This record gives sequence, structure tokens and C-alpha cells, in this order.
Amino acid sequence: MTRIDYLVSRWELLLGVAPPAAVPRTLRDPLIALLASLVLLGVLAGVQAARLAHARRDVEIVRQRLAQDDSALRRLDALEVEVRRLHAIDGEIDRIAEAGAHSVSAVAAIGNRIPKDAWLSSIRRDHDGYVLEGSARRLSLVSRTLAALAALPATGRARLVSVQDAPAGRGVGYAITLGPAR
Amino acid sequence: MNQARAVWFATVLVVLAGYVGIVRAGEARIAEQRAAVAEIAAHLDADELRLRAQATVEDARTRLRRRVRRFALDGDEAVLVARFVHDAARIATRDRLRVVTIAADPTLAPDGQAPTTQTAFAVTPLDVTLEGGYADLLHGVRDLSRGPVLARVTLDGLTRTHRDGPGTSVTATLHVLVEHLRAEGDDGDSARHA
Repeated sequence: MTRIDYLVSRWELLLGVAPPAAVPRTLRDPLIALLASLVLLGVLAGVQAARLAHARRDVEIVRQRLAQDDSALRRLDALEVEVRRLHAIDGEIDRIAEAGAHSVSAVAAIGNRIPKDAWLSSIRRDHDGYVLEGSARRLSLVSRTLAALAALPATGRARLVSVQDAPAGRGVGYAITLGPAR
Repeated sequence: MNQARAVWFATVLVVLAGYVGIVRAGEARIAEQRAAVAEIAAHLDADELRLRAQATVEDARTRLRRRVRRFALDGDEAVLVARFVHDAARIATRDRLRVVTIAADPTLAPDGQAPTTQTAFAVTPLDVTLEGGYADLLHGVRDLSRGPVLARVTLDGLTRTHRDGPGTSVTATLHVLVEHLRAEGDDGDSARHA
């Protein structure tokens, strides 16, 4: 006996089309669920692909900015190298330009230590120290000269080389060496 | 009934495979890209921070160039020596000094090679003798190394020329190194005596 169902199925009501009659009734629900899952996964795949493409575009954009910054940084590196070089040169220039003043100050400091009634005839550099020659009215002034020079902070040990009676009653001549700065 | 179960099972498998293959895998790839963006952005931030200092570095270069250029450092050694001699004459006139000698340093090696400093500078050594009053000499010597030609001046000695009395004259012997910048890549040949 053939059974005819004249009632409209719920799927026909929902979708507006009747599922093929060839599909057995028991398979309709699982097949529709399978199809829906596939559609949903397709949509998900599209969304994920769009998000991934967006993320890759972001990476590309920041890489381009990084490349632009790289060339600017190379210029900055070169600039910093030049500044370091100029800084070193500037420091060296200052040292060179002050060399004369330091040299003069050292000699002036020695000259200023010579007591009254004692004189310097010559002062010359000897390695890092100085050799002084001069004269004084009395021998005791040579002693004071030696003591004064020994107290100089910018030079080393003061050493008496010689003292001799100057001709024609002109006092005494002396020679003193000053060692290099301690 | 068995077919329906098989299709349900296939559906579940498809959903699981889709979750693993599309959602999880996609999220992992997106996370990788975002991590890459974050890493590059951190580099960019650091770079931007450095680049912000560029104006300061440029200002420092301008200032240093101006300071360095207060001395004549470039150019031919002969010209620099000539300028030094001219400057010495000017100072001597101002301080009532007499320039007794200006001579090339006799301690030069036979090939004329000057001793060089271990710096960016090459040197031309000179021996200078000046005569004048004690205070004037000290003043003049101090100014000789202060430009416009850069010169390392060392006061080697002072000798009283005339003994005692108010008109005492003193002779100063100086060792002078006229300095100029080596050209880039110069290995010291530029220090050859003029």
C-alpha cells in the first residue's frame, strides 16, 4: 500500500522548496546540518582569510616605516660619528691651545718663588723638569730659594747642583734642578 | 538509520576539522602577524626616540664645527706656517718683543718627517726665539698658542740677556708644533715638514 502525505513539510515551509524526494526522510536533518556546517566553515574561512590579509598588510606597513627609519638612522649614525670626531678634535684643540699658557704658568710660578735679592739668569726645560741658574746676594738666599722651590706644587724635587762665589763680590751663583711633577 | 548516524558523525567531524583547520590555524597565523607587528613597532618606537634626538645632534655638530673653525686647521702646511709667522710678528709688535729666530726643528728625521701626534692632527715643528721684557714675553708666549693658527707652544727656556737693572731683557726659546688636521685616510704623510 502506498502512503501519500499531503501535508507540507516543515523544511518546505522554512526554505520554500521541498527537499528532493530521493533523499530519505531520515537523512534530511543530518544532511542539512552537514551542509549548514560546510557553509558556516566557508564563511569562517573567508573571515579568517580577511583578518589574516589585514594583519599582513599591517606588517607590511610597519616594515615600510622601519625601512624609512633605517635610512634616517643611517644618516643619524653618520652624524653621530662626525660629532664624536669633532668633539675629540675640539678637546685636543683646547689642550693644544692651552699648552702655551700652562708652559708659561709653570715658568712664572718658578719665577715668582725666587726671593728678593736673588735672581734667575736662566731657566730651561730638562726632560720634564727644569734647570735653573741664577745669583743671590748671600748664600742664605740660595737656601731660601731652594726651600721656596721645593714647596712648588707643580714641580718635583728641588735639588741644588752648585753654589759658587761670584767674581767681584757680586754674591753667589747657583744652579738648581727641579724634577718632573709628582 | 545507520546512514543518518554516519552523516551526523561526518557533520561533527567536519565541524571539528573546520575548527582546528580554519579557526585555530587562522588565529595562530593572525597572532604571528600581530606579534611581528608588535616587535617591529617596538623597534620603531626605539628608532623614533633616537630620531627625535637628531636636531640636538645637528645642533651639536654646528656648534662644534664653529668651535673647531676658530682655528685655521685645513690647508697647505706652508700656508699655515706663514700665517703662524705673521701672527708671531703681530704679537711681537704688540708686546714689544723681538723675534730673534724662527727655524725648522733641527731634530727632524733626515727624510724631513716630522714627529706626529697620535691624534687627528699632523704637526710642523719649529724652534722660535723671542727677546723682550719678562712679563711681555710670558704674555706673548701665552697668546702664540691661541690662534688663529693652532700651535702647541712649549716654553723651553728663559735666559737673562742683560744682567740686573730695570732694562733687563730676557730671551725665550720656544718649541712650537704648528698643528693642522690630517686629511681623511691620511697615514701621517701630511705631517711632512713644509
